[in-house]
Amino acid sequence: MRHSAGHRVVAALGCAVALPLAWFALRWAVVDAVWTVPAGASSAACRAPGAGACWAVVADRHRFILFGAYPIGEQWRAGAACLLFAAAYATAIVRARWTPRLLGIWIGTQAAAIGLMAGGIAGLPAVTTDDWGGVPLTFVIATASFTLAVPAAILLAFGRRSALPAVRAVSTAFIELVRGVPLVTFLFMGSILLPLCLPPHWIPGKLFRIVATFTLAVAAYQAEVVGGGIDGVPRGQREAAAALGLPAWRVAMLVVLPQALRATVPATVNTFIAFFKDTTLVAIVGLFDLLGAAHAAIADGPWVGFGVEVYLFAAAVYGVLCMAISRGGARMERAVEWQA
Amino acid sequence: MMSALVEIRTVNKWYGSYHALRHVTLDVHAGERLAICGPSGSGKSTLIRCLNGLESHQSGTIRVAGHTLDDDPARVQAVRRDVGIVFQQFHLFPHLTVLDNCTLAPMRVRKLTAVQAADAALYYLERVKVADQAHKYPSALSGGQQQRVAIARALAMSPKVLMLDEPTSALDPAMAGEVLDLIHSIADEGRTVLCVTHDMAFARGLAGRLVHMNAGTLVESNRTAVFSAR
Repeated sequence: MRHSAGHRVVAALGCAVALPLAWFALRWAVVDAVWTVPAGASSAACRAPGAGACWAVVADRHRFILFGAYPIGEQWRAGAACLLFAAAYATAIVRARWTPRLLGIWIGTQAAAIGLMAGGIAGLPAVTTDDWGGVPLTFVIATASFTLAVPAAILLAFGRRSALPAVRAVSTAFIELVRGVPLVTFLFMGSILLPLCLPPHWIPGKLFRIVATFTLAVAAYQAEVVGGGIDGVPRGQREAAAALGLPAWRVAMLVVLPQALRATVPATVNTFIAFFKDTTLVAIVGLFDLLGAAHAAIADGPWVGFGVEVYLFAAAVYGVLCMAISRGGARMERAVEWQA
Repeated sequence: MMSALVEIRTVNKWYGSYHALRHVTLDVHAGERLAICGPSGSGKSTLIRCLNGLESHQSGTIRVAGHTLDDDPARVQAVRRDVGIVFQQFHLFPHLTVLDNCTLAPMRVRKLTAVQAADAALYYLERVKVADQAHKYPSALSGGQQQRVAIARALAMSPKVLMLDEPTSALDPAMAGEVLDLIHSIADEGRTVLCVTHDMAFARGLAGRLVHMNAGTLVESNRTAVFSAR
């Protein structure tokens, strides 16, 4: 294609703006950056005139940002729990492994990761869930609530399409209620209102309440995703299955649901990524997820004011995790194409 | 008196105010080969869909293999176990392999073991000449092959009567030909076959008996030879 004079002018202008910006960013992030400070030293080096990005704050506080208030000496357990979650995801996205056994592996890996975090078994010191934080907290909330929510979502989706008016009404009311109220409101209700309404020794732990709240929210949203998939299965499929003598629930489970779930893999990955990031909302009820821990790391002490650096670090961690999920999702989408 | 395998007595069906089936009465005996012909909208597909409870009728009685069709799901299922149906659009299950399409119902409904069901399914897939495709998914097959799998899937349930609803209307002529030949040879095994079709030549060739539908009414019921001679 021939480039007109207009093109060249626009390109020149673009370079005139972009190149100085790029140079400015590079100087800030690399050339003038302060990478480390000596152990025990203050942040004085970062506050010197002409200093660029203060990556020293990340170097100094990364363990708190990644693992929250989890005891330093036990953080290998939190790290190992993250690896277990990652291994569970890596196992689950491979279509050849989609057998009933995978469900056992999936739940067993989660139980192992959570048990490792909680301790109190096999000589590991117990760590209260209030001290859990950072990346493993995000993994626990997102994975546990999604695991619990998906069966509920399937029941709700079929319930909303049930021939029984009572089942239909309850399912529809639940879905519309939960979708109609912001997630933050439910987190407040679960974390603050619920303890006010229950006798003290009945109040479940903070993490439990958060996972329960997320489970209800994911169930409602995912119910509509699954429902769309159910509606998309052609009527002829149901008729063909029914005509073979299969009872209605077998038609639903063996013919409709498998097709509906395959068709909704992209939308399901979407829901998962959305709620994976929404785990940051737990900060408002006093748990330190990755973002909350990043925020807390600069709330006081020597590193006050270095928000850009820790938030960039948190963004990078989220970016890597969400990109990995999205890649895994894309792989599953390819795997469920019919000729696979 | 020996009762018929399929007994239809003064059956009426309405879609809203539209009178789709009018006082239809018909017997099909075991081993019979019946073709139902008629223009589109004449009610022939509706009739065949009523015979296994995919549509319900508003008056009259339908008995299939001794079971009376009514609102009781258990009786509807009893009928469906004895009626194999093949659809115009095949309706194979796209998430299952050809073999699994044919073993699903025998395992879940007839309670065959996986091995028994696979043996039976392979026998019928061999019979319809697609056994070499058994481990492929339906989307990898041609239309004619898919319809032959659909026939094998229906036969794998050992139905007392095989019903085909315009089995070749979604196929191009070459594929239709291979499916028609297959239906002929299956009928020659002494099965009870009930076929809805536009194709008068095929209907005459296949059927011992030919029924004509028009505007919801069964208008002719003659031996093929007589029908053709008119």
